[in-house]
Amino acid sequence: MRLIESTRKELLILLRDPVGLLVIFVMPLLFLLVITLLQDNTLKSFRETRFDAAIINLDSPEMGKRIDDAMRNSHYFEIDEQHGLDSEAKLREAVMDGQYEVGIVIPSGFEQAIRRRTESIFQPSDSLATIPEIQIIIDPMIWTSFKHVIELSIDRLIMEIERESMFESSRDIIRQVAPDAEIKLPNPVPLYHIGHASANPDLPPNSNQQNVPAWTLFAMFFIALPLAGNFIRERTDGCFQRLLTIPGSMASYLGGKFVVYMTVCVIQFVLMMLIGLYLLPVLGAGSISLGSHPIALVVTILSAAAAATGFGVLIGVFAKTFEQASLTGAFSVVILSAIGGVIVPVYAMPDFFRRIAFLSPLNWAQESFLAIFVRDADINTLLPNLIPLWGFFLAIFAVSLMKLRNTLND
Amino acid sequence: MNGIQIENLRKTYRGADKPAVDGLSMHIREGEIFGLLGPNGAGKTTTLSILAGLLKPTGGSIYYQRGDSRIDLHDMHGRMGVVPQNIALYPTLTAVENLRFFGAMYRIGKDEMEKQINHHLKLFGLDQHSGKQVKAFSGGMKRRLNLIAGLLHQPDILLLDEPTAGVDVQSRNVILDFLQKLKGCGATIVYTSHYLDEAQKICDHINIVDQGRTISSGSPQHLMCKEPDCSDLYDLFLKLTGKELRD
Repeated sequence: MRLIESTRKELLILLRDPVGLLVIFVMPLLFLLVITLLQDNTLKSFRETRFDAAIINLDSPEMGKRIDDAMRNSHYFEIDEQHGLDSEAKLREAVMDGQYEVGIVIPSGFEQAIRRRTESIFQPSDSLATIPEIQIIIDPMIWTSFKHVIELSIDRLIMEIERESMFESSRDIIRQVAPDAEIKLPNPVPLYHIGHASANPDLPPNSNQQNVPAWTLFAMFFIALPLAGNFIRERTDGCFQRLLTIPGSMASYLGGKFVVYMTVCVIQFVLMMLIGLYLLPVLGAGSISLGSHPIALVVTILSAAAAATGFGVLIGVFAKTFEQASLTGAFSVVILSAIGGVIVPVYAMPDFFRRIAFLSPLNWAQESFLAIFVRDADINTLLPNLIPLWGFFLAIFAVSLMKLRNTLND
Repeated sequence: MNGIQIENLRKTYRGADKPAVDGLSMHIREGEIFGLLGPNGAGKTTTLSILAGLLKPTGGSIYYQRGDSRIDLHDMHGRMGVVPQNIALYPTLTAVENLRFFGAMYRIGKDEMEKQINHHLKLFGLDQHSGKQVKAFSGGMKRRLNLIAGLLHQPDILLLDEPTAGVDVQSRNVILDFLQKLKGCGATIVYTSHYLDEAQKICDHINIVDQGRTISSGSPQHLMCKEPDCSDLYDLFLKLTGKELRD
């Protein structure tokens, strides 16, 4: 009866606070939409963005065309064939001015050098023929990660051209000995990608899988602010003092808050997941799979909700003013999110932060959700993360109850 | 004599340089209205908070005397009703929702609770407003509801901290009438107020405190007899506590 009335009271207070509802439900949804679409575009850039490029070919027209064709086929580059630049210095200047993002200079004698090097395999000499370097000029404004992509892709193109040239040279030499020999260039060794999205093998990894649980957890933990405000308002109104005079009412008082705010967290999760499942894919952010272990998913949602509510209760119980609650609440949620892998995935963090990620309860929950969505993990696999979440919840409930009971006696 | 016995009660707040309550002793008889009067900062609210279990005293003892046995006041808290000086109600809940919540916290059964809620809302003229949110109430209506929330469980001891502060004459009249009826039913009422005329009218016993100490105690008639040059409690109060302003 006490718990039911306490829950009813919390629910009514929440439902009659339109601004609070906005903060709890609408803001996280907008946040998820904006951040996911932004981050997805960044990730897509690696696959879909084309860099404006200019090539100066100081070698044979054939070699220039081969490199040009190879770069065009790679879909990473938009080649300007009408650039009118005739020297490395002018190309460098054009790239530095931002006219092009990538400039490539094929040195004179490149094709010949490759051919000579192949011949030296069959006619060994003291030293292998050296190949003049291909100059790659990259706009300094381009992110380092993009630069790596550009360098790797050009490197791969050049290696492929070198391989083909060596093959042609070898074929010519062999045909001098055996004119009827049938010689074919083998395909490059294929790379076999395994390990992603075993929950749904057809689903490539995307930002949606990372962002939906990450920002849902952020929203869940952000209820610390309205929840702490709720505690402080009760203290300033005097309702809390009245409750303190009623023996044994504290557990029901706290229990009602836990029930309502845990339910809020679950609703947040469902809403954000609906956005992730149905709206974000339409907006081009990739699909998400819920895995094939519904019990694991439900237990993880409840565990995360309990930990998030506990965190809000902790802030509410210990903060003395609205200012304290909003500052410590917002600051701690952002820090815990950052080190927990919400803002940047843990695998992309510097080594130090990867080591301390386990300190954040958001990390325990985030790892569990990712394990379900990406690795199709079952409940047993998740236990190392779920047990700390419940431990966190129980510890906070106990500490908060003690603190509330002792509030009276200061 | 049955009642609340307070002996040498002391309370010094953390960081304070002087005590809020400084060796207060008094006896509150069962079934009487006991007025705790004094200027601002005299220690009235601190004393009531200690009685309500909201504060731990620095020293002294409080117990309930029943016959020859002494009962720890802590064990009486379930039978105690507290009406704080603040309007300790949820502003976005209706009158009935507030009362149901506090009633449930007092573990009142559902049927009994509905009966008590209806009875008290009618008694205090709030039955027509039971479905309105408290934030829409006038100051007097809030005061009356604040009082009801403290007595739904029909307490034996009622602690009231300025229950008529800032209310109109009509609301005050209803509240004071009710307190006298409650006393008639055997309840013990401890009451603080700055309205000396109403204290003189309803209290059986008055304790005037200043700087955490009792400076005069007795029935209103007895107090007046002790200071024959004072025409009423107002004069007496100023004579005992002085005319300088208090913080």
